[in-house]
Amino acid sequence: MITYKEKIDNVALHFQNGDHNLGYRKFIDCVLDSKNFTLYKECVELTDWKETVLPSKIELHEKVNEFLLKLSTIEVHSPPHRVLLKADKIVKKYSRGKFQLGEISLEVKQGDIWGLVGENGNGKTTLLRILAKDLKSESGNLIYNVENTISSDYDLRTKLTYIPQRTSKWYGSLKSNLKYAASHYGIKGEENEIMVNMMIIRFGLWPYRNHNWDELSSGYKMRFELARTFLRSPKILLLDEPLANLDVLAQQLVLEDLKNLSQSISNPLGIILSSQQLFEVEKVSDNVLFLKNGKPTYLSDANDQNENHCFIEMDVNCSRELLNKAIKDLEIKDIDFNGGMYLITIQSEDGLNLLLTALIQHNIEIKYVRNISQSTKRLFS
Amino acid sequence: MNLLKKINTSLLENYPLLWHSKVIQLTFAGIICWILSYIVGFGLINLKTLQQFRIQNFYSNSGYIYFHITYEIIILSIWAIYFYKNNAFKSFYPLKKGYFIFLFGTLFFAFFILSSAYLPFTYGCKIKSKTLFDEKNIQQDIDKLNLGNAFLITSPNQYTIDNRSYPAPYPVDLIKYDENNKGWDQIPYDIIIPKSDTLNQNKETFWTNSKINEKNTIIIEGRKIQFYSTHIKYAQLNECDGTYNTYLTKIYKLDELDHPELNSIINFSQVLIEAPYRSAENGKLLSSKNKKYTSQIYQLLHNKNPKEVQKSIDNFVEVCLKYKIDNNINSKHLTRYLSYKKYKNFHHSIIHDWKNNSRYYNHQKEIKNIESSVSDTNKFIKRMSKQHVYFYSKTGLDSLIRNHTYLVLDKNNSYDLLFFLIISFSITWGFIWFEFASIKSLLITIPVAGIILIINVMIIVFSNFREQGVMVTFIITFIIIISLTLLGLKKKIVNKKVLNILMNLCYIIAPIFIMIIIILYNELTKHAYVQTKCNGIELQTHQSMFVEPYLFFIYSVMGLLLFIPLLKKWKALEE
Repeated sequence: MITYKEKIDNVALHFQNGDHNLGYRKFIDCVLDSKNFTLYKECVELTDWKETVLPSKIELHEKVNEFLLKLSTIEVHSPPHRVLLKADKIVKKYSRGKFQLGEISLEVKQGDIWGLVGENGNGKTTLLRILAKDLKSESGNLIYNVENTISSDYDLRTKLTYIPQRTSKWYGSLKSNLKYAASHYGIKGEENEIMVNMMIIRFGLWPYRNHNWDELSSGYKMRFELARTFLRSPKILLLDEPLANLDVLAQQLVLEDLKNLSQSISNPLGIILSSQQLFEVEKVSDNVLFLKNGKPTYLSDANDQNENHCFIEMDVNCSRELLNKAIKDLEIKDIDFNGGMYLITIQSEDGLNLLLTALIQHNIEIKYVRNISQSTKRLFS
Repeated sequence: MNLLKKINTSLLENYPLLWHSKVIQLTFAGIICWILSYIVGFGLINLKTLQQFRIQNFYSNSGYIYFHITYEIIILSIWAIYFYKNNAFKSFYPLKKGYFIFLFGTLFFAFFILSSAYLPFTYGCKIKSKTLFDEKNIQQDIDKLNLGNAFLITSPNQYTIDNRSYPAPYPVDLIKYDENNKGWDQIPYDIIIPKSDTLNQNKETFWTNSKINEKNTIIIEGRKIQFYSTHIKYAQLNECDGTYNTYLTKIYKLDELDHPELNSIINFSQVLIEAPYRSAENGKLLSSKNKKYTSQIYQLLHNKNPKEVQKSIDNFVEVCLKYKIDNNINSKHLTRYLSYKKYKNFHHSIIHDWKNNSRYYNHQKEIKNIESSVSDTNKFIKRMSKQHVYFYSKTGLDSLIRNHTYLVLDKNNSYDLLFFLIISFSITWGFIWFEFASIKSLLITIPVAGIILIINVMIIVFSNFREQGVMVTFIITFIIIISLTLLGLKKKIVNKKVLNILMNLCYIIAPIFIMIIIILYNELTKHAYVQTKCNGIELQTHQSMFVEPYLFFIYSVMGLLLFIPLLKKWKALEE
């Protein structure tokens, strides 16, 4: 696990390498980890200066370095990572249809990201709503370990932060909405202003802080939701299709943010997110749960079962006959063409190299190829 | 502007509930309305308006009510737009203990300020009115008005027994003979003789054997007076011993139409005293005032001194001038007319109410003719007896005196306050409903509540229930709804969608539930007398318990307080 000191060094490295945007985001994470309102205040001032003066990269680098020196004097310790949520044999039936979700069991620890993947209508949203206590399950147990002082079900719901795919419209300015949420969570007075500004900065909303709902794009609406959620100091974050309606860059940015925030030194949190963006989600997730017709498949289990197999997704510019001829010497277990892509299963751990060699030897043009042995993509069919 | 922004930010950062409720802005709008209402009330009142309107009704009669309602609707609409923009409860934000009670309380306070413009308006009217009356000399002025008024009867109908019979038997319109006490007594003014066809229907008062329009001549204390008589028996509860006594056999009312000789002004010995004295002091002062003026007027007439009569009319006119009461009274002409003894039978009164201005203007010419014929007594009297030529604003004078009495007594009607408390409570109740319920569940609740109501009414109709039965039916329905809701919350026996409707129904029931139980309790114990003492004798009587109007308001608040703790539990339930 990365230490606070290492995190600060990483920030410095990003700036040295010229990755100023990434570096600045990680710098904000370091400041947030410090839990020091004086530093928060200085950070807000620095950002304000950055956004209004528009300094050169060198000037910004200098200022950030000065700040990092201050941060390096602070001791930040990571709490022991505990299990936040344990779902045991959750089952949900819909009486009208024949659909049944489960049995599903999973365990979410602090710092974990769970990816929830599957085709539409396979129970991703249902599972998230059950975990968020929004929907009742027929059987199974849910044990939450988010805080010691949960006095009622309503109290528990205030700790479980579930962001649905379609977030409801809010009114007024972005900042006033964040302030309202913060003040309900006990962040009052000057702290409220500083903390809200920090979140606005962290999620790249500084230029949009006085905008309202209608003036924000889908990506920034999602960022607003995340900012609002993080003001609640969540322990578990449940996100339903957070990447839907986002462009490729925004998707990467949000996923990267989630990864960084889940690995916060002072407040690591557990995240469960559902998405159709398999590869992106798998990239940041520690665990992936694939749902098909409500039945779960855990990626780790699937990998264990096919330990010596290589699954390749491929598109080539040749006829099927030529392809068959090229790969006839390989230990092909299965080949499937869905009209656009070939899904080839080779009984060898080194299958991708063997396949590429064979294709090159036969002078076949490769348009697309991806090893999906470690991806749930191979489970879609 | 900056200050307002600072206040708003401070509220948002430190007091999210106050910021959300916008109670500061709402109260500010209410205070502006109060100040404005006070200024308008103060500004609109003058001697003319005091003659046209009653102070306590001036808020509505002046049309200010329309301005106030429009203002209130505009403010509430703007407020509602901002209020429903944020909802901590629906967003599952942590709520402090008593969040809804505090929210209800603050909104209730603000709505009360906003809705009760009547109070400062009327207060402004009172303050201004007090400055318009010459309080130092007001009693003398009223004396002058009452004395002069005796000679200025504007309608034969007003020329009642008090004014016309000599010597006056009693200062009453109605008298009764009490069989139990074997004596004559005055009937309280709130007793109304019912028409014969309604007597038998009115089971509560036990009126029987009624005969209307039988003419009687009765002799009371040696004085012969002709009356209508109405034969009526009725029973009235004796509050002391709880039994019913038969009180009345006959009610007498003066036969006004068939007594031309009584229409002569010369016959009167008592003067009509204006209604305010009666209503304000329950008729008691009437007798003493009557006696006071009667003797004075009787003396005036008995002395046959027209100059003194003219002086009393002059005094009347002088006070009218002081208080801007419209009139065209000529004391000299009137005195001459009143002193003319040959005419004892006038078909019309010679004075008319000023309020009908058109008549006054039509008769301007006639007045001039009278002026010219004043030397010829016969012509003058004939003309005077045929037409109304002199006017004064009797209704204006009445209104002025009533308003003065209202100010002097300065009765703060606590029911005004209660009325506005109930209005504010209802508005708050309505707005809070939308704070926790979804529009969808509300739309389903309305027809469901309608169906429940129809079922209740059908049960009541088909079972031929009386009052107690009606309330029992409703209470059983309420208990079923409340029980289902509680079981739904605790044991989850119904799904969330049904529970949403049940919660809405409970919210409708909450303010009236305790009230209905209290009423039912009183109904059920109506005939169960309790031991009390009356004049040292132990008696069995019944008293309704806990039925004061203010208590009903408190029951509504209590009902709501019982409901509010269910909200968090309900909201947290899974679908």
